[in-house]
Amino acid sequence: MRLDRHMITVTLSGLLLGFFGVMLSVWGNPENSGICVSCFIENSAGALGLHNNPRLQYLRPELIGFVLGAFASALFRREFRSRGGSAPLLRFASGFFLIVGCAVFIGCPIKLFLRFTAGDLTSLAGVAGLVAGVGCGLKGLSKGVELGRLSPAAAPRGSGLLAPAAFLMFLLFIFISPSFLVASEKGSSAQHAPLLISLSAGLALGFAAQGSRFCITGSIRDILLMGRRAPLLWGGIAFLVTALLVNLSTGRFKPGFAGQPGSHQEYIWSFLGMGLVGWLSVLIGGCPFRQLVKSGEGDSDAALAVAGMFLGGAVVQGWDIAATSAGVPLGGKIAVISGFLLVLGGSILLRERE
Amino acid sequence: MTPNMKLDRFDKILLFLLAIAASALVVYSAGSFPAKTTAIETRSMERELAAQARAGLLEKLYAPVTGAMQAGQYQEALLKLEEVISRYPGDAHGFILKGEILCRMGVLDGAAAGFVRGVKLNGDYIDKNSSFSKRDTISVLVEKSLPSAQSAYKSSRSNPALKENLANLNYLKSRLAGGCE
Repeated sequence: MRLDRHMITVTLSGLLLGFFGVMLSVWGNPENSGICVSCFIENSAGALGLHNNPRLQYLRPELIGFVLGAFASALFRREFRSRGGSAPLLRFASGFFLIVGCAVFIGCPIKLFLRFTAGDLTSLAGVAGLVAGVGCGLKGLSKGVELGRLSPAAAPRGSGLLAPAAFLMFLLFIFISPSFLVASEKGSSAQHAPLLISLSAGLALGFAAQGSRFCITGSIRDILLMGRRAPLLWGGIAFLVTALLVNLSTGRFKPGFAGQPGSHQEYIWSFLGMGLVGWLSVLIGGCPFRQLVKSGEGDSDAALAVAGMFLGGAVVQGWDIAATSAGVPLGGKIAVISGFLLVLGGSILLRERE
Repeated sequence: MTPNMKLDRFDKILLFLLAIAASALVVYSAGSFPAKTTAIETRSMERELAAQARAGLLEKLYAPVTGAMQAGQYQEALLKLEEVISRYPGDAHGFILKGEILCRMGVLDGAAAGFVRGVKLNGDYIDKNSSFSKRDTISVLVEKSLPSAQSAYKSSRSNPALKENLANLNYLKSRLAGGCE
Protein backbone atom coordinates (compact mmCIF):
# COMPACT_ATOMS: atom_id res chain seq x y z
CA MET A 1 0.00 0.00 0.00
CA ARG A 2 1.38 3.38 -1.03
CA LEU A 3 0.29 6.35 1.02
CA ASP A 4 -0.17 8.95 -1.71
CA ARG A 5 -2.15 12.16 -1.85
CA HIS A 6 -5.25 10.45 -3.27
CA MET A 7 -5.23 7.85 -0.51
CA ILE A 8 -5.04 10.61 2.11
CA THR A 9 -7.96 12.55 0.59
CA VAL A 10 -10.07 9.41 0.34
CA THR A 11 -9.34 8.45 3.96
CA LEU A 12 -10.07 12.00 5.10
CA SER A 13 -13.41 11.94 3.25
CA GLY A 14 -14.36 8.65 4.94
CA LEU A 15 -13.36 10.06 8.29
CA LEU A 16 -15.43 13.22 7.82
CA LEU A 17 -18.44 11.21 6.61
CA GLY A 18 -18.29 8.91 9.64
CA PHE A 19 -17.86 11.82 12.05
CA PHE A 20 -20.61 14.07 10.67
CA GLY A 21 -22.85 11.07 9.93
CA VAL A 22 -23.18 10.38 13.64
CA MET A 23 -22.62 13.83 15.08
CA LEU A 24 -25.40 15.45 13.05
CA SER A 25 -27.76 13.05 14.85
CA VAL A 26 -26.26 14.11 18.16
CA TRP A 27 -26.81 17.74 17.15
CA GLY A 28 -30.47 17.22 16.29
CA ASN A 29 -31.06 15.13 13.15
CA PRO A 30 -33.18 11.96 13.61
CA GLU A 31 -31.54 8.87 15.16
CA ASN A 32 -29.12 7.06 12.81
CA SER A 33 -29.96 9.66 10.14
CA GLY A 34 -27.22 12.20 10.64
CA ILE A 35 -26.68 11.83 6.93
CA CYS A 36 -29.22 10.06 4.77
CA VAL A 37 -29.43 11.36 1.23
CA SER A 38 -32.72 9.60 0.45
CA CYS A 39 -34.41 10.82 3.65
CA PHE A 40 -33.09 14.33 2.98
CA ILE A 41 -34.43 14.21 -0.59
CA GLU A 42 -37.87 13.09 0.67
CA ASN A 43 -37.83 15.87 3.30
CA SER A 44 -36.76 18.50 0.78
CA ALA A 45 -39.30 17.36 -1.84
CA GLY A 46 -41.96 17.81 0.84
CA ALA A 47 -40.62 21.23 1.81
CA LEU A 48 -40.91 22.34 -1.81
CA GLY A 49 -44.54 21.21 -1.87
CA LEU A 50 -44.01 18.05 -3.96
CA HIS A 51 -45.75 15.83 -1.39
CA ASN A 52 -48.01 16.60 1.53
CA ASN A 53 -46.86 14.33 4.35
CA PRO A 54 -46.85 16.94 7.14
CA ARG A 55 -44.22 15.01 9.12
CA LEU A 56 -41.64 14.92 6.31
CA GLN A 57 -41.17 18.47 5.08
CA TYR A 58 -37.87 20.30 5.63
CA LEU A 59 -35.39 21.69 3.15
CA ARG A 60 -32.26 19.94 4.41
CA PRO A 61 -29.24 22.27 4.30
CA GLU A 62 -26.87 19.29 4.10
CA LEU A 63 -28.11 18.45 0.57
CA ILE A 64 -27.44 22.00 -0.57
CA GLY A 65 -24.02 21.82 1.07
CA PHE A 66 -23.11 18.62 -0.78
CA VAL A 67 -23.75 20.19 -4.20
CA LEU A 68 -22.31 23.63 -3.49
CA GLY A 69 -19.30 22.15 -1.66
CA ALA A 70 -18.60 19.94 -4.67
CA PHE A 71 -19.05 22.96 -6.97
CA ALA A 72 -16.54 24.99 -4.95
CA SER A 73 -14.10 22.09 -4.90
CA ALA A 74 -14.41 21.54 -8.66
CA LEU A 75 -13.74 25.23 -9.30
CA PHE A 76 -10.85 25.25 -6.82
CA ARG A 77 -9.25 22.16 -8.39
CA ARG A 78 -10.09 23.38 -11.91
CA GLU A 79 -12.12 20.26 -12.53
CA PHE A 80 -15.45 21.91 -13.29
CA ARG A 81 -16.56 20.83 -16.76
CA SER A 82 -20.03 20.76 -18.27
CA ARG A 83 -20.54 17.25 -19.54
CA GLY A 84 -23.40 14.86 -20.18
CA GLY A 85 -25.63 13.63 -22.94
CA SER A 86 -25.72 9.89 -22.23
CA ALA A 87 -29.15 8.22 -21.85
CA PRO A 88 -30.76 11.16 -20.00
CA LEU A 89 -34.21 9.64 -19.50
CA LEU A 90 -32.77 6.37 -18.26
CA ARG A 91 -30.67 8.28 -15.75
CA PHE A 92 -33.74 10.21 -14.63
CA ALA A 93 -35.66 6.94 -14.14
CA SER A 94 -32.65 5.42 -12.38
CA GLY A 95 -32.58 8.35 -9.96
CA PHE A 96 -36.27 7.79 -9.29
CA PHE A 97 -35.77 4.08 -8.54
CA LEU A 98 -32.67 4.77 -6.42
CA ILE A 99 -35.00 6.54 -3.99
CA VAL A 100 -37.59 3.75 -4.26
CA GLY A 101 -34.96 1.18 -3.22
CA CYS A 102 -33.74 3.41 -0.40
CA ALA A 103 -37.29 4.12 0.81
CA VAL A 104 -38.09 0.41 1.00
CA PHE A 105 -34.93 -0.23 3.02
CA ILE A 106 -35.36 3.08 4.96
CA GLY A 107 -32.12 4.82 4.13
CA CYS A 108 -29.44 5.41 1.51
CA PRO A 109 -26.16 3.46 1.44
CA ILE A 110 -24.56 5.97 3.84
CA LYS A 111 -27.37 5.52 6.34
CA LEU A 112 -27.17 1.76 5.83
CA PHE A 113 -23.70 1.77 7.34
CA LEU A 114 -24.59 4.41 9.94
CA ARG A 115 -27.39 2.09 11.08
CA PHE A 116 -24.97 -0.84 11.10
CA THR A 117 -22.34 1.01 13.16
CA ALA A 118 -25.06 2.00 15.66
CA GLY A 119 -25.74 -1.70 16.25
CA ASP A 120 -28.83 -2.04 14.04
CA LEU A 121 -28.35 -5.63 12.94
CA THR A 122 -31.39 -5.55 10.64
CA SER A 123 -29.19 -3.51 8.31
CA LEU A 124 -27.12 -6.63 7.57
CA ALA A 125 -29.75 -7.70 5.02
CA GLY A 126 -29.27 -4.33 3.33
CA VAL A 127 -25.47 -4.70 3.37
CA ALA A 128 -25.79 -8.10 1.69
CA GLY A 129 -28.26 -6.66 -0.83
CA LEU A 130 -26.04 -3.67 -1.65
CA VAL A 131 -22.97 -5.86 -2.20
CA ALA A 132 -25.01 -8.27 -4.34
CA GLY A 133 -26.48 -5.38 -6.35
CA VAL A 134 -23.05 -3.86 -6.99
CA GLY A 135 -21.81 -7.32 -7.99
CA CYS A 136 -24.66 -7.72 -10.49
CA GLY A 137 -23.97 -4.25 -11.88
CA LEU A 138 -20.30 -5.09 -12.35
CA LYS A 139 -21.19 -8.35 -14.05
CA GLY A 140 -23.41 -6.35 -16.40
CA LEU A 141 -20.62 -3.87 -17.14
CA SER A 142 -18.24 -6.71 -17.96
CA LYS A 143 -20.86 -8.10 -20.38
CA GLY A 144 -21.27 -4.80 -22.20
CA VAL A 145 -24.20 -3.16 -20.39
CA GLU A 146 -23.46 0.57 -20.39
CA LEU A 147 -25.50 3.75 -20.46
CA GLY A 148 -22.99 5.36 -22.82
CA ARG A 149 -20.08 7.65 -22.18
CA LEU A 150 -20.16 11.16 -20.82
CA SER A 151 -18.98 13.72 -23.28
CA PRO A 152 -18.20 17.43 -22.87
CA ALA A 153 -19.05 17.77 -26.57
CA ALA A 154 -22.56 16.41 -26.06
CA ALA A 155 -23.41 18.89 -23.29
CA PRO A 156 -24.15 22.50 -24.20
CA ARG A 157 -21.54 24.82 -22.71
CA GLY A 158 -22.60 26.03 -19.29
CA SER A 159 -25.28 23.37 -18.82
CA GLY A 160 -23.33 22.02 -15.86
CA LEU A 161 -23.99 25.28 -14.02
CA LEU A 162 -27.72 24.61 -13.81
CA ALA A 163 -27.57 22.16 -10.89
CA PRO A 164 -25.35 24.38 -8.69
CA ALA A 165 -27.61 27.32 -9.62
CA ALA A 166 -30.73 25.38 -8.58
CA PHE A 167 -29.17 24.45 -5.24
CA LEU A 168 -28.01 28.05 -4.77
CA MET A 169 -31.66 29.02 -5.23
CA PHE A 170 -32.63 26.44 -2.56
CA LEU A 171 -30.04 28.03 -0.26
CA LEU A 172 -31.69 31.41 -0.80
CA PHE A 173 -35.04 29.79 -0.03
CA ILE A 174 -33.68 28.75 3.37
CA PHE A 175 -32.73 32.30 4.24
CA ILE A 176 -35.67 34.18 2.73
CA SER A 177 -38.36 31.51 3.45
CA PRO A 178 -40.75 32.07 0.56
CA SER A 179 -44.40 31.46 1.38
CA PHE A 180 -44.56 28.16 -0.54
CA LEU A 181 -41.71 26.61 1.46
CA VAL A 182 -43.07 24.23 4.11
CA ALA A 183 -41.37 23.07 7.31
CA SER A 184 -42.76 20.30 9.52
CA GLU A 185 -43.47 21.19 13.11
CA LYS A 186 -43.77 17.53 14.10
CA GLY A 187 -42.34 14.16 13.13
CA SER A 188 -38.80 13.33 12.02
CA SER A 189 -38.48 16.39 9.79
CA ALA A 190 -38.98 18.63 12.79
CA GLN A 191 -35.76 17.13 14.13
CA HIS A 192 -32.73 18.80 12.67
CA ALA A 193 -29.31 20.05 13.62
CA PRO A 194 -28.81 23.86 13.72
CA LEU A 195 -28.89 25.34 10.21
CA LEU A 196 -25.32 26.63 10.04
CA ILE A 197 -23.89 23.38 11.41
CA SER A 198 -25.85 21.30 8.86
CA LEU A 199 -24.85 23.58 6.03
CA SER A 200 -21.16 23.65 7.03
CA ALA A 201 -21.06 19.86 7.39
CA GLY A 202 -22.66 19.47 3.96
CA LEU A 203 -20.21 21.91 2.37
CA ALA A 204 -17.21 20.17 3.95
CA LEU A 205 -18.42 16.74 2.84
CA GLY A 206 -19.25 17.91 -0.69
CA PHE A 207 -15.84 19.56 -0.99
CA ALA A 208 -13.99 16.48 0.30
CA ALA A 209 -16.04 13.96 -1.71
CA GLN A 210 -15.55 15.84 -4.98
CA GLY A 211 -11.80 15.78 -4.58
CA SER A 212 -11.57 12.19 -3.46
CA ARG A 213 -14.42 10.66 -5.59
CA PHE A 214 -15.42 8.83 -2.42
CA CYS A 215 -18.79 7.10 -2.32
CA ILE A 216 -20.17 3.99 -0.69
CA THR A 217 -21.16 1.96 -3.75
CA GLY A 218 -17.97 3.12 -5.50
CA SER A 219 -15.96 1.74 -2.58
CA ILE A 220 -17.75 -1.61 -2.77
CA ARG A 221 -17.31 -1.69 -6.56
CA ASP A 222 -13.57 -1.00 -6.29
CA ILE A 223 -13.12 -3.54 -3.50
CA LEU A 224 -14.85 -6.21 -5.61
CA LEU A 225 -12.65 -5.28 -8.57
CA MET A 226 -9.29 -4.53 -6.97
CA GLY A 227 -9.43 -5.99 -3.47
CA ARG A 228 -6.97 -4.48 -1.02
CA ARG A 229 -5.36 -2.33 -3.72
CA ALA A 230 -8.48 -0.15 -3.98
CA PRO A 231 -7.84 3.31 -2.44
CA LEU A 232 -11.58 3.67 -1.72
CA LEU A 233 -11.27 0.65 0.59
CA TRP A 234 -9.37 2.85 3.03
CA GLY A 235 -12.02 5.54 2.77
CA GLY A 236 -14.67 2.92 3.54
CA ILE A 237 -12.70 1.61 6.51
CA ALA A 238 -12.13 5.16 7.82
CA PHE A 239 -15.88 5.83 7.52
CA LEU A 240 -16.91 2.65 9.33
CA VAL A 241 -14.33 2.90 12.11
CA THR A 242 -15.02 6.60 12.75
CA ALA A 243 -18.80 6.11 12.76
CA LEU A 244 -18.46 3.13 15.13
CA LEU A 245 -16.16 5.02 17.51
CA VAL A 246 -18.38 8.13 17.56
CA ASN A 247 -21.48 5.95 18.09
CA LEU A 248 -19.73 4.17 20.98
CA SER A 249 -18.44 7.36 22.57
CA THR A 250 -21.83 9.10 22.38
CA GLY A 251 -23.69 6.11 23.80
CA ARG A 252 -25.58 5.42 20.57
CA PHE A 253 -24.36 1.89 19.98
CA LYS A 254 -27.27 -0.40 20.86
CA PRO A 255 -26.84 -3.78 19.19
CA GLY A 256 -29.94 -5.80 18.36
CA PHE A 257 -32.47 -6.74 15.74
CA ALA A 258 -35.75 -5.58 17.26
CA GLY A 259 -36.99 -2.07 17.98
CA GLN A 260 -34.17 -0.24 16.21
CA PRO A 261 -34.90 3.35 15.16
CA GLY A 262 -36.29 3.73 11.63
CA SER A 263 -36.00 0.07 10.70
CA HIS A 264 -38.19 -2.92 9.92
CA GLN A 265 -37.66 -6.65 9.98
CA GLU A 266 -38.67 -7.56 6.43
CA TYR A 267 -35.21 -8.77 5.52
CA ILE A 268 -35.98 -9.94 2.00
CA TRP A 269 -37.28 -6.49 1.05
CA SER A 270 -34.33 -4.79 2.74
CA PHE A 271 -32.07 -7.02 0.65
CA LEU A 272 -33.98 -6.32 -2.57
CA GLY A 273 -34.28 -2.57 -1.92
CA MET A 274 -30.56 -2.15 -1.38
CA GLY A 275 -29.84 -4.63 -4.20
CA LEU A 276 -31.71 -2.33 -6.56
CA VAL A 277 -29.76 0.67 -5.26
CA GLY A 278 -26.42 -1.12 -5.69
CA TRP A 279 -27.17 -2.26 -9.22
CA LEU A 280 -28.48 1.13 -10.38
CA SER A 281 -25.57 2.93 -8.73
CA VAL A 282 -23.05 0.93 -10.76
CA LEU A 283 -25.01 1.62 -13.96
CA ILE A 284 -25.17 5.38 -13.45
CA GLY A 285 -21.78 5.71 -11.76
CA GLY A 286 -22.47 6.30 -8.09
CA CYS A 287 -24.83 6.21 -5.14
CA PRO A 288 -27.31 9.05 -4.43
CA PHE A 289 -24.62 11.02 -2.56
CA ARG A 290 -22.21 10.72 -5.49
CA GLN A 291 -24.92 11.86 -7.93
CA LEU A 292 -25.29 15.07 -5.91
CA VAL A 293 -21.53 15.60 -5.83
CA LYS A 294 -21.18 14.96 -9.57
CA SER A 295 -24.04 17.34 -10.35
CA GLY A 296 -22.04 19.99 -8.50
CA GLU A 297 -18.99 19.46 -10.68
CA GLY A 298 -20.82 20.00 -13.98
CA ASP A 299 -22.18 16.53 -14.77
CA SER A 300 -25.63 17.23 -16.22
CA ASP A 301 -26.41 13.50 -16.44
CA ALA A 302 -25.96 13.25 -12.68
CA ALA A 303 -28.14 16.36 -12.34
CA LEU A 304 -30.89 14.52 -14.21
CA ALA A 305 -30.50 11.57 -11.84
CA VAL A 306 -30.88 14.07 -8.97
CA ALA A 307 -34.06 15.43 -10.58
CA GLY A 308 -35.33 11.84 -10.77
CA MET A 309 -34.42 11.43 -7.11
CA PHE A 310 -36.56 14.45 -6.17
CA LEU A 311 -39.51 13.02 -8.11
CA GLY A 312 -38.88 9.68 -6.40
CA GLY A 313 -38.79 11.44 -3.01
CA ALA A 314 -42.21 12.93 -3.69
CA VAL A 315 -43.78 9.78 -5.11
CA VAL A 316 -42.60 7.37 -2.38
CA GLN A 317 -44.40 9.55 0.16
CA GLY A 318 -47.47 10.31 -1.94
CA TRP A 319 -48.10 6.77 -3.22
CA ASP A 320 -47.49 4.85 0.02
CA ILE A 321 -44.28 3.26 -1.23
CA ALA A 322 -41.92 4.13 1.63
CA ALA A 323 -41.44 1.50 4.33
CA THR A 324 -41.93 2.34 8.00
CA SER A 325 -41.13 0.53 11.24
CA ALA A 326 -44.35 -1.40 10.60
CA GLY A 327 -42.88 -2.94 7.44
CA VAL A 328 -42.93 -2.54 3.68
CA PRO A 329 -46.31 -1.58 2.15
CA LEU A 330 -47.60 -3.36 -0.94
CA GLY A 331 -46.85 -0.26 -3.03
CA GLY A 332 -43.20 -0.45 -1.96
CA LYS A 333 -42.91 -4.08 -3.00
CA ILE A 334 -44.49 -3.37 -6.39
CA ALA A 335 -42.21 -0.35 -6.91
CA VAL A 336 -39.05 -2.36 -6.14
CA ILE A 337 -40.12 -5.09 -8.56
CA SER A 338 -40.79 -2.38 -11.18
CA GLY A 339 -37.27 -1.06 -10.54
CA PHE A 340 -35.82 -4.49 -11.24
CA LEU A 341 -37.90 -4.65 -14.44
CA LEU A 342 -36.25 -1.40 -15.52
CA VAL A 343 -32.74 -2.62 -14.66
CA LEU A 344 -33.17 -6.03 -16.25
CA GLY A 345 -35.03 -4.80 -19.34
CA GLY A 346 -32.59 -1.92 -19.72
CA SER A 347 -29.62 -4.26 -19.41
CA ILE A 348 -30.97 -6.49 -22.19
CA LEU A 349 -31.68 -3.55 -24.50
CA LEU A 350 -28.54 -1.53 -23.73
CA ARG A 351 -26.07 -4.36 -23.95
CA GLU A 352 -23.44 -3.95 -26.61
CA ARG A 353 -22.96 -7.31 -28.26
CA GLU A 354 -19.96 -8.26 -30.36
CA MET B 1 -16.71 32.39 -22.23
CA THR B 2 -12.95 32.46 -21.70
CA PRO B 3 -10.84 35.34 -20.28
CA ASN B 4 -9.33 36.04 -23.72
CA MET B 5 -12.66 36.02 -25.52
CA LYS B 6 -13.56 39.27 -27.23
CA LEU B 7 -17.07 40.47 -26.54
CA ASP B 8 -19.05 41.69 -29.53
CA ARG B 9 -22.01 44.03 -29.50
CA PHE B 10 -24.54 41.20 -29.07
CA ASP B 11 -22.63 39.84 -26.04
CA LYS B 12 -22.65 43.28 -24.47
CA ILE B 13 -26.42 43.62 -24.97
CA LEU B 14 -26.94 40.19 -23.40
CA LEU B 15 -24.70 41.09 -20.43
CA PHE B 16 -26.60 44.34 -19.96
CA LEU B 17 -29.95 42.52 -19.97
CA LEU B 18 -28.55 39.87 -17.62
CA ALA B 19 -27.55 42.58 -15.15
CA ILE B 20 -31.05 44.12 -15.38
CA ALA B 21 -32.70 40.70 -14.83
CA ALA B 22 -30.43 39.94 -11.84
CA SER B 23 -31.18 43.35 -10.29
CA ALA B 24 -34.92 42.88 -10.85
CA LEU B 25 -34.71 39.48 -9.15
CA VAL B 26 -33.02 41.02 -6.10
CA VAL B 27 -35.54 43.91 -5.96
CA TYR B 28 -38.57 41.64 -6.27
CA SER B 29 -37.19 39.09 -3.78
CA ALA B 30 -36.51 41.84 -1.25
CA GLY B 31 -40.00 43.23 -1.86
CA SER B 32 -41.55 39.87 -1.05
CA PHE B 33 -40.24 39.80 2.55
CA PRO B 34 -43.27 41.39 4.24
CA ALA B 35 -45.65 39.18 2.23
CA LYS B 36 -43.63 36.12 3.18
CA THR B 37 -43.78 36.94 6.87
CA THR B 38 -47.52 37.41 6.64
CA ALA B 39 -47.89 34.10 4.83
CA ILE B 40 -45.89 32.23 7.46
CA GLU B 41 -47.84 33.83 10.29
CA THR B 42 -51.11 32.99 8.55
CA ARG B 43 -49.97 29.39 8.07
CA SER B 44 -48.95 29.06 11.74
CA MET B 45 -52.29 30.50 12.80
CA GLU B 46 -54.15 28.11 10.51
CA ARG B 47 -52.23 25.18 12.00
CA GLU B 48 -52.98 26.39 15.52
CA LEU B 49 -56.66 26.82 14.68
CA ALA B 50 -56.84 23.34 13.14
CA ALA B 51 -55.13 21.80 16.19
CA GLN B 52 -57.47 23.56 18.61
CA ALA B 53 -60.53 22.65 16.55
CA ARG B 54 -59.40 19.02 16.51
CA ALA B 55 -58.80 19.00 20.26
CA GLY B 56 -62.25 20.49 20.85
CA LEU B 57 -63.97 18.02 18.54
CA LEU B 58 -62.18 15.04 20.10
CA GLU B 59 -63.10 16.19 23.58
CA LYS B 60 -66.75 16.45 22.59
CA LEU B 61 -66.80 13.23 20.58
CA TYR B 62 -65.13 11.08 23.22
CA ALA B 63 -66.67 12.78 26.30
CA PRO B 64 -68.83 9.73 27.25
CA VAL B 65 -65.77 7.48 26.95
CA THR B 66 -63.47 9.66 29.04
CA GLY B 67 -66.26 10.16 31.57
CA ALA B 68 -66.62 6.40 32.04
CA MET B 69 -62.84 6.06 32.22
CA GLN B 70 -62.60 8.65 34.97
CA ALA B 71 -65.35 6.84 36.89
CA GLY B 72 -63.35 3.62 36.60
CA GLN B 73 -66.05 1.94 34.48
CA TYR B 74 -63.73 0.52 31.89
CA GLN B 75 -66.13 -2.01 30.32
CA GLU B 76 -68.68 0.71 29.73
CA ALA B 77 -65.97 3.00 28.36
CA LEU B 78 -64.96 0.27 25.90
CA LEU B 79 -68.56 -0.19 24.74
CA LYS B 80 -69.01 3.55 24.17
CA LEU B 81 -65.64 3.68 22.44
CA GLU B 82 -66.61 0.94 19.97
CA GLU B 83 -69.60 3.05 18.94
CA VAL B 84 -67.38 6.06 18.17
CA ILE B 85 -64.73 3.94 16.43
CA SER B 86 -67.34 2.36 14.16
CA ARG B 87 -68.42 5.88 13.11
CA TYR B 88 -64.86 7.23 12.70
CA PRO B 89 -62.63 4.23 11.90
CA GLY B 90 -59.90 6.44 10.44
CA ASP B 91 -59.40 8.49 13.60
CA ALA B 92 -56.36 7.58 15.66
CA HIS B 93 -57.65 8.99 18.96
CA GLY B 94 -60.15 6.19 19.49
CA PHE B 95 -57.48 3.51 19.18
CA ILE B 96 -55.18 5.40 21.54
CA LEU B 97 -58.00 5.62 24.11
CA LYS B 98 -58.64 1.90 23.62
CA GLY B 99 -54.95 1.28 24.35
CA GLU B 100 -55.16 3.40 27.51
CA ILE B 101 -58.32 1.65 28.78
CA LEU B 102 -56.92 -1.84 28.14
CA CYS B 103 -53.66 -0.79 29.77
CA ARG B 104 -55.53 0.24 32.92
CA MET B 105 -57.45 -3.07 32.81
CA GLY B 106 -54.16 -4.97 32.59
CA VAL B 107 -54.87 -6.36 29.11
CA LEU B 108 -51.41 -5.44 27.88
CA ASP B 109 -51.43 -7.22 24.49
CA GLY B 110 -54.71 -5.52 23.55
CA ALA B 111 -53.33 -2.21 24.77
CA ALA B 112 -50.26 -2.59 22.55
CA ALA B 113 -52.45 -3.43 19.54
CA GLY B 114 -54.59 -0.32 20.20
CA PHE B 115 -51.55 1.96 20.48
CA VAL B 116 -50.03 0.48 17.30
CA ARG B 117 -53.19 1.22 15.28
CA GLY B 118 -53.38 4.72 16.69
CA VAL B 119 -49.71 5.56 16.13
CA LYS B 120 -49.82 4.20 12.57
CA LEU B 121 -52.76 6.50 11.84
CA ASN B 122 -51.22 9.53 13.52
CA GLY B 123 -47.60 9.76 14.66
CA ASP B 124 -48.38 12.78 16.87
CA TYR B 125 -49.28 10.39 19.70
CA ILE B 126 -45.68 9.21 20.05
CA ASP B 127 -43.97 12.58 19.53
CA LYS B 128 -42.31 14.16 22.54
CA ASN B 129 -43.62 17.67 21.96
CA SER B 130 -47.13 16.99 20.70
CA SER B 131 -50.08 18.11 22.80
CA PHE B 132 -51.65 14.70 22.04
CA SER B 133 -48.54 12.76 23.11
CA LYS B 134 -49.03 9.46 24.94
CA ARG B 135 -45.32 8.72 24.76
CA ASP B 136 -44.87 8.15 28.49
CA THR B 137 -47.78 5.67 28.73
CA ILE B 138 -46.56 3.78 25.64
CA SER B 139 -42.99 3.80 26.96
CA VAL B 140 -44.04 2.26 30.27
CA LEU B 141 -46.14 -0.37 28.48
CA VAL B 142 -43.23 -1.39 26.22
CA GLU B 143 -40.78 -1.58 29.11
CA LYS B 144 -43.21 -3.63 31.16
CA SER B 145 -44.43 -6.00 28.45
CA LEU B 146 -41.47 -6.60 26.15
CA PRO B 147 -39.39 -9.03 28.29
CA SER B 148 -42.39 -11.27 29.03
CA ALA B 149 -43.60 -11.08 25.41
CA GLN B 150 -40.14 -12.16 24.20
CA SER B 151 -39.94 -15.14 26.53
CA ALA B 152 -43.56 -16.16 25.79
CA TYR B 153 -42.83 -16.10 22.05
CA LYS B 154 -39.61 -18.09 22.51
CA SER B 155 -41.47 -20.81 24.38
CA SER B 156 -44.23 -21.10 21.75
CA ARG B 157 -43.09 -19.82 18.35
CA SER B 158 -46.05 -21.31 16.49
CA ASN B 159 -48.59 -19.18 18.40
CA PRO B 160 -49.66 -16.34 16.02
CA ALA B 161 -51.10 -14.19 18.82
CA LEU B 162 -47.76 -14.18 20.69
CA LYS B 163 -45.93 -13.40 17.47
CA GLU B 164 -48.26 -10.48 16.72
CA ASN B 165 -47.95 -9.09 20.24
CA LEU B 166 -44.15 -9.17 20.03
CA ALA B 167 -44.25 -7.50 16.61
CA ASN B 168 -46.54 -4.77 18.01
CA LEU B 169 -44.23 -4.10 20.95
CA ASN B 170 -41.17 -4.04 18.68
CA TYR B 171 -42.95 -1.56 16.40
CA LEU B 172 -43.69 0.72 19.35
CA LYS B 173 -40.11 0.36 20.60
CA SER B 174 -38.80 1.31 17.16
CA ARG B 175 -41.07 4.37 17.01
CA LEU B 176 -40.01 5.41 20.52
CA ALA B 177 -36.37 5.09 19.44
CA GLY B 178 -36.96 7.73 16.75
CA GLY B 179 -35.23 7.76 13.38
CA CYS B 180 -36.77 8.52 10.02
CA GLU B 181 -40.36 7.50 9.46
